[in-house]
Amino acid sequence: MKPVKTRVILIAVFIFISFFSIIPSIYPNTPGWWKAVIGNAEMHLGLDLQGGVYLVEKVEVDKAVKEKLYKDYSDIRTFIESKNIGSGKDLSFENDRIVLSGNLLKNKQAVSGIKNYLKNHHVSLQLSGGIINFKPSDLAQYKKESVSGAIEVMRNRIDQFGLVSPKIARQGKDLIVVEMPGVKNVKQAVKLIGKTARLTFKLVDDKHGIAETINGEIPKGDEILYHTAFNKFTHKTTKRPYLIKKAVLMSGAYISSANVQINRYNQPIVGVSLNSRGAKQFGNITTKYTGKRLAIILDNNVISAPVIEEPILGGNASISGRFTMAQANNLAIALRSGALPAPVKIIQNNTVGPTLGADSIHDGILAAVVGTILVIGFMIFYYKLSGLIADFALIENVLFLMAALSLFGATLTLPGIAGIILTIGMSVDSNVLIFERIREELRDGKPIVIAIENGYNKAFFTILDSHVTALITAAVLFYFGSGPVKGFAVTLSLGIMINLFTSLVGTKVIFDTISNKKELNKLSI
Amino acid sequence: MEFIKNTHYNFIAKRKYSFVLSSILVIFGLVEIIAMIAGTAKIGIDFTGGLSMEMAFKHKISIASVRKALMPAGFKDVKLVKIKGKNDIIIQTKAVAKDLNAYTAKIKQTVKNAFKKNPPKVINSEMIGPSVGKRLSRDAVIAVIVSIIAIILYITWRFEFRFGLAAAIGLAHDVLALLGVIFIFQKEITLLVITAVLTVAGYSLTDKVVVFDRIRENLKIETEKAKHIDLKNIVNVSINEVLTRTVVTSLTVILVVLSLFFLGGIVLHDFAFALLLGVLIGTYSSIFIASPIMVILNENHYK
Repeated sequence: MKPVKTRVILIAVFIFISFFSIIPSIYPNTPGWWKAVIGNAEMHLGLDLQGGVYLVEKVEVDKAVKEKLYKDYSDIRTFIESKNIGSGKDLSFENDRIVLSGNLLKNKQAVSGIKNYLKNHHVSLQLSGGIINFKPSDLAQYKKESVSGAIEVMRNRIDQFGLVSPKIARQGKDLIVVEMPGVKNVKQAVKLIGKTARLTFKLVDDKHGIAETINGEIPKGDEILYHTAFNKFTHKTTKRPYLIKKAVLMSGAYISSANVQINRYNQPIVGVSLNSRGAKQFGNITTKYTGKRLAIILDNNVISAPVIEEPILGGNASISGRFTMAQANNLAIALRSGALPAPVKIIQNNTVGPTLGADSIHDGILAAVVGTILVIGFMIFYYKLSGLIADFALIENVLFLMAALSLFGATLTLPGIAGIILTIGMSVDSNVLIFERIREELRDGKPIVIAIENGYNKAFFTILDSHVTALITAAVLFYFGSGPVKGFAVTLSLGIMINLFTSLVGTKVIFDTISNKKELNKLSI
Repeated sequence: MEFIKNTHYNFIAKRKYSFVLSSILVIFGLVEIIAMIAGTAKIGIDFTGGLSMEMAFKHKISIASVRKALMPAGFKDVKLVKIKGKNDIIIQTKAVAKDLNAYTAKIKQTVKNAFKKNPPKVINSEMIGPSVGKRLSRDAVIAVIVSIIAIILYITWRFEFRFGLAAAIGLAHDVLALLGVIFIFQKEITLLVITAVLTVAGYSLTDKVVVFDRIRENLKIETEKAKHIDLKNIVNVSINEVLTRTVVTSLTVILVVLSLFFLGGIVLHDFAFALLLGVLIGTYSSIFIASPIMVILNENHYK
């Protein structure tokens, strides 16, 4: 007698959990509490099967150019002042270009000094006729790079956002087409991929009171930025002004990772790790300005402005700002994937139908059903009742895989379905291995119960080794892959692990139950 | 039911033929890779980008009917998107930047001829870039190399280094040979085909481990029994012993792939084609490539 009770219960529990997790994906009117139990996880259908959103976004490259030029302007000004070449006041930023005037323009030595500096540090700029601007060829290149940079960052964010599989492509000169399946979570996704996410650290000007400046004059070198807070009880948005020094102390470019943490007041915060260069810079800033208030600014919104209590030298900082969990999560993703090189604007927003016509979808599903029936039929034809047991494992496989994909919130596309069908074809392999071993044992004249036992034992390591090697490939694909390859790796690894379980545990328990019940004189195999 | 009983084929003796055949396929595979790097290979719109045009029809329109109009005119790799609430369809297809205008006009004319009662108007027509990042191709290559190393390490740990090396060579052979077939048939490299190649890599590996596992088992039994080891014979016996399993498993997979090929429609056609050949190549190479290579690598060891 072999104890089967625990295994039967285990399988029953898995089957129950699987049905429980799949139903919200299939039946849209599932009650809310049900969805909440499984964390609102749901399988999505891809662009090809159900359509989605078709967005055209314009990359505002001119703004990027202007900002780049302004940044270079600050650099050049610092250079002029630090090397005593001239007065910084004679260098100004007007009409989107850098203009030299006064003594700076008259002094030939100063002009050649600046030219030299540009040659070494800002190759893409040129100085002629008292004006510093982009070289035409470099300007075109910079614009091009801003768009492709924006696309890369967007793809990065999408990869981190989960398994939705959108398509992002460049259109024309400065447009980006984003196709995203489903419409449910689109608002959030659009917000996320379109967010510039430029993080800067600036000082709060504590010398001047904000009240006196808000209607009067803003002190030179200062600006007013707002902290926007949403009160979830009163549902009101409040804006609080801050007087901020314009100079950027540090940007978010040095962030190596960002993730959501919970602080001791049980509120979500975003923990940020800086790379070594950033850590050094941040250490210097916090040492120099201990006791002052440091404003953390994201896209011109003040997230928070804490007082620097002590120098932060380790390169780890946290951003708290009364976030909700979802806000904190989105901020972390945006910071991790880097800032968009230029702001983007949605210029076209359409809902589109499935990219595959109804006929293609119909064909795909028909092929899947026929393929499955063929395999099920073949197994019964070749292995008789044992084949039926293998078919049971096969159906279990599909069920578990669907459940896992639902829980992961995966996006199902037609190729994805084809992939699942293929795992069906492969999933019987383990049972074929076992059955062939059992047949060998029977041929050697072993009693049935022992033949079954030996068959499973001898096949065990073959199955384990072949699954582990396949799993290694899948894990490597997941780790190094991006976009669709990553999604494929998830499905593949889930399929392999589930298959390992169903073939080794799922079918064995049936054989054991049968041989417990009665003396086996004949095995239908 | 049994298809095969007690076979005694001498597989290893046939290695001369299989090595020649495989060398040819692998060379074609390398040609395909070089062509991909050089940008002359047939690559799908996902990787190259192309032309995107939006057409507004006067009345209701279905994607299927537009596809039917474009396919016979030679526009094979088209992606169609229908905008909801309007009678607009976005047509994306591969086009060379040089003859953009001529190409646009040709598509326009083809569609107009097909829908005389429902005349379309071109709203806009522009070039679109690839929807797959440059990173994807690079990442896929890195992933394949790293996984080959990881597999050698795992099989070395579980079996022996020579087994690991032979499996890795077999795997590399399968991927290259499949690309070779894709080159010979001039099939387009699309995201789906890449997925098929990766799937085949997983399948082929499983298949090799199963064969090697039996060789390992028989090797152990023989080493205990006899002093002289006839490795070729052991490998032959092992392959024959697992032959039924090899045939049955390939058959079930092929049943599925064939139904995708014949019933899955135009979209899954190339995917199923790549899978079908991949499965055949993977099964063939476990027997005729990876096993003989294992014998060659082991020859000095068991002399």
